[in-house]
Amino acid sequence: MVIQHALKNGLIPVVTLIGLQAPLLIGGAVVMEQIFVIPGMGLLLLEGVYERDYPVISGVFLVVGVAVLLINLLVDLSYGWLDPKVRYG
Amino acid sequence: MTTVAAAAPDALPVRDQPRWWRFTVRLFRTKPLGAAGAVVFAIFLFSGIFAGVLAPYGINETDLAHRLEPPSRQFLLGTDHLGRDLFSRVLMGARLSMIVGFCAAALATVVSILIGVLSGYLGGWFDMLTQRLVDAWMTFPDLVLLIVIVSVVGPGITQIVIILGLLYGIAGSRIVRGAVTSVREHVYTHAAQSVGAGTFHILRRHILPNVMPVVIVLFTTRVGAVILSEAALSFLGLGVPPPAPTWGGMLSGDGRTYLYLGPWLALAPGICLTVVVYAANVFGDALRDLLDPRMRGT
Repeated sequence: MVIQHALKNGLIPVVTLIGLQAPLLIGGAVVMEQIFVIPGMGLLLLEGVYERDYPVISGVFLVVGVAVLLINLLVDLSYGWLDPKVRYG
Repeated sequence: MTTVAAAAPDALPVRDQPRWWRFTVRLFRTKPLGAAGAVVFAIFLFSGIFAGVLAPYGINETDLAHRLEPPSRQFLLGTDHLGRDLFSRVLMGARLSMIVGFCAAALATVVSILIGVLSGYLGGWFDMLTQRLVDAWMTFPDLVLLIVIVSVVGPGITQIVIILGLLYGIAGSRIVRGAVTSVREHVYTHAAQSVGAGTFHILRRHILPNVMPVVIVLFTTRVGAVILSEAALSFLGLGVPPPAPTWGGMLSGDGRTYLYLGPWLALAPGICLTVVVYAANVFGDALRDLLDPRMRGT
């Protein structure tokens, strides 16, 4: 009962928040990767910045931008799945 | 008739205290936590302003006989690996953080007002174009955008202030625009338009005073965010370059290298940073509840 009726409707504001938090998450990943030396995209970006490697910087920037856009697209699409009243014209 | 007219002024309550004083009393009565935040923030502000007088040692004054000493009476917060007094450095760090915090937040507020008021009041294609640009700008994560811009213009306090100001200003313009669009539809604005008041006059006399509560709240909440961003940048080595004592720089440089030998090196700036940002946020929240109750929970 609860899962079927309450969870789906209750998820809508939560999902909205996920979309808003996505950029923050990636920003935090940069700091975390620097602290724990995780060889991820954040560290790649920082190394690019320290060595003035502009193609690397713009590449990471592009990927991050596209990732945030995709997350927001998924969030918008999930509204329709969570609440069938939502229609996309 | 004359007796009634003479009696009326006496019935009004006498209000001899100025408005800001009454507001402060209200803040302390209804929002003790917010008021405490304001007091703590003011303490850090003054210790930043008077850092030159309060600091017992110079910020780059090394004393190799007293290296990595724990907090004592002579060195209130201990010393680092070069024998520099940590208390003096934390004080100067407060000054840097306050300078960056206030300047960048002020710039951000001005940018927000400019974009938000024009976009919200003029509307039409201008609003459409500006808002899509703001949308595109907000797609990029704050910190990643900051790092990329700093890598182009180079580190330094002026650059940091301008970048943080623009970054938060553009993001905050959305909030100002929202307030302006609601004020624009009020009757007094329409009345001013119908008697032929100029756009600039309406913006200055009717729109701006009515979005002021939103703007003040925006400024106070931005101060904390800006200080935190500056610390994150300095932590990554892209903020104000060393040997300038920034809290973020102290955390990442000596703080991390000597974490086991001298944990106070990381603790002191870390705690200061936490307390200042918490105080600023709590104060901002209290101001928002008092000035603009509609924004609660945002």
